[in-house]
Amino acid sequence: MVRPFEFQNAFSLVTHTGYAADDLRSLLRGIQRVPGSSIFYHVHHSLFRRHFTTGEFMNDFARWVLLSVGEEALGERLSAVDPWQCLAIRTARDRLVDAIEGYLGSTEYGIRVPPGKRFYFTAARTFIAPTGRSARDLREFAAGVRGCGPDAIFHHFVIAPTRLGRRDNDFSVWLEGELSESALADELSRLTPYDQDLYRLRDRIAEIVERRLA
Amino acid sequence: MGPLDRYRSVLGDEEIETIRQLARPLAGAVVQHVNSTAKGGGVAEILGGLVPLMRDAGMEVDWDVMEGDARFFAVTKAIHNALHGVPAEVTGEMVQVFEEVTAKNLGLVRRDADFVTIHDPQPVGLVRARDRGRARWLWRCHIDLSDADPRVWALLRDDVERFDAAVFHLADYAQALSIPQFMIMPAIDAFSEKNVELPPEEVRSVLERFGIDPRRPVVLQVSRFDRLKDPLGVVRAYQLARTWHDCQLVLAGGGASDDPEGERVLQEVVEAVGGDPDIHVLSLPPESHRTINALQRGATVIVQKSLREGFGLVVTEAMWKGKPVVGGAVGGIRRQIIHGTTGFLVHSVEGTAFRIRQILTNPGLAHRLGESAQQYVRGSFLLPAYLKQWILALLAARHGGRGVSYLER
Repeated sequence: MVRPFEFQNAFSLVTHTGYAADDLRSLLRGIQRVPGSSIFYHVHHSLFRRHFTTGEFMNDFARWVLLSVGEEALGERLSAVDPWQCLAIRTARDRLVDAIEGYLGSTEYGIRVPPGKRFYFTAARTFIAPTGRSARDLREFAAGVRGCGPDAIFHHFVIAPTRLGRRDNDFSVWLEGELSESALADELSRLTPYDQDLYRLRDRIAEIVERRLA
Repeated sequence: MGPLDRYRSVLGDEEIETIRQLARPLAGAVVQHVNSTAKGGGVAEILGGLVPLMRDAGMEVDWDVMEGDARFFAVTKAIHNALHGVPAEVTGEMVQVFEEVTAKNLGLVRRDADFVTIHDPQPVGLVRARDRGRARWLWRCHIDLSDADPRVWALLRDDVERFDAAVFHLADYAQALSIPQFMIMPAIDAFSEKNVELPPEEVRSVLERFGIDPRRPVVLQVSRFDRLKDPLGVVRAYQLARTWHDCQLVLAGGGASDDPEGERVLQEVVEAVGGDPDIHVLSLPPESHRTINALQRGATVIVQKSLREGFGLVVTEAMWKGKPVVGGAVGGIRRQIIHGTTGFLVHSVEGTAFRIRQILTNPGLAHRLGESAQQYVRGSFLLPAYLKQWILALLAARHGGRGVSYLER
């Protein structure tokens, strides 16, 4: 008996955490203390804002250090904290902390930015809602993917795996577990929302599944 | 066709269906918006767009305007200025007027409302009508509180903390409050006179009407003649850019007749322009939305060299028209322009001139920036995206909590 795949959307509202940074030390303190949803939000911000034309998927911390604090070397180090490599929030937080602590240990003074350039830690209040579409076989699954918007792709590819602390996206898990489509599941696992935008990712997934059907 | 369905052509069917599904838990919910003016100003404009969309999404929505006399609005203007960081005196007598008018308007609050949304400081005191009913109360602050006079903010703070949540444009404007604070960036209406597609001949005819040569590059800034919009800096940037590349400058602003400071700034701009026939200073009446639209569509580069900016919907409008924008790195402009991707952020006259020149000499870059800007606005800054955020804010006020919640079908 196949357990149907339920397509869901994830929607996020940006919330205030009360933490802000005006230099590297306060940035470090904030990263250590804010809720995980704030780290998640700032690491994946380019997906939250649905901006799919930029190839520069830099996390917010790196962008701020580069553009507002002007510490290029640290900015580059932080930009190497790849959102896709650290799906677990704790991993992302640890890598960010290590990079900043290492840098602060090697520098004697720090720049404090003026009020208009502060970094404000925000977080995401997320609601997950069913789309009403489900799939019991590959054909229904392909049609379901075609009907997905970016909110569903973001949920099944980023939010759900992060919450469950696993590497694989929801689609691959279902294809492998319910339909024994291991090769297809593997192929989808190699896709990331950071190689293409969420719309193109949706189309790519649908193409791969439709090719298998053909 | 409902106002939400109208956006199918812009956003696609799936996005509109997604919004309708998201709104389902709020079907039939009574939502009351209260602000202090029915016409004029950004709040009335955005409510004019939001309210029909909320209704179309299944909510029962009322938009009420509080009543006040000239004394009250003089007081709220002083409060508004002080919250913006402009020095203003708020005396005990003024507080008394504020209290009296608030008390007279308490009856405006709908007792059967599920959500009451109060916009800006003027009606903030209506929260005193809050009883133990089911209604969730949200305070929507449309102004930049980052430099607020702490004495004046203290007058409002107790009332603000009686709400279930406060909503700001940007995290920069959030305050130390005991209630949750949500961030919702404003949005534009793609079908308003300001933003609707125009035939090329209309755009050309508007340019020619003002003596602007449509065959030569046009650099445009649309703003009030206000020092914080730095029109003099724009003139200097144009003069510098002009030494590298042929172009014309258009400064289009609203009527300044009721604003003595604006009149002075306009005069200074006219003096700075001297006799340059390629600079066009246009003082347009407030309802010139279609003219502004045509000017924006006819521009080669759009500049918004603000020194301070709440959000800067004029930047959103320019980006929506697929134009490369050079914007001051302040306030909401920094949230809209992803430097080098959807435009350029600048910090000086020289930086502005450099970016104008860079765009004018590189049409491919101009096209890429403009296209990217338009896509960004399509995904984040059109009214349906604003509606979506509002639905989430209402759900968050209803559910409370943090992190992740699951909604039933």
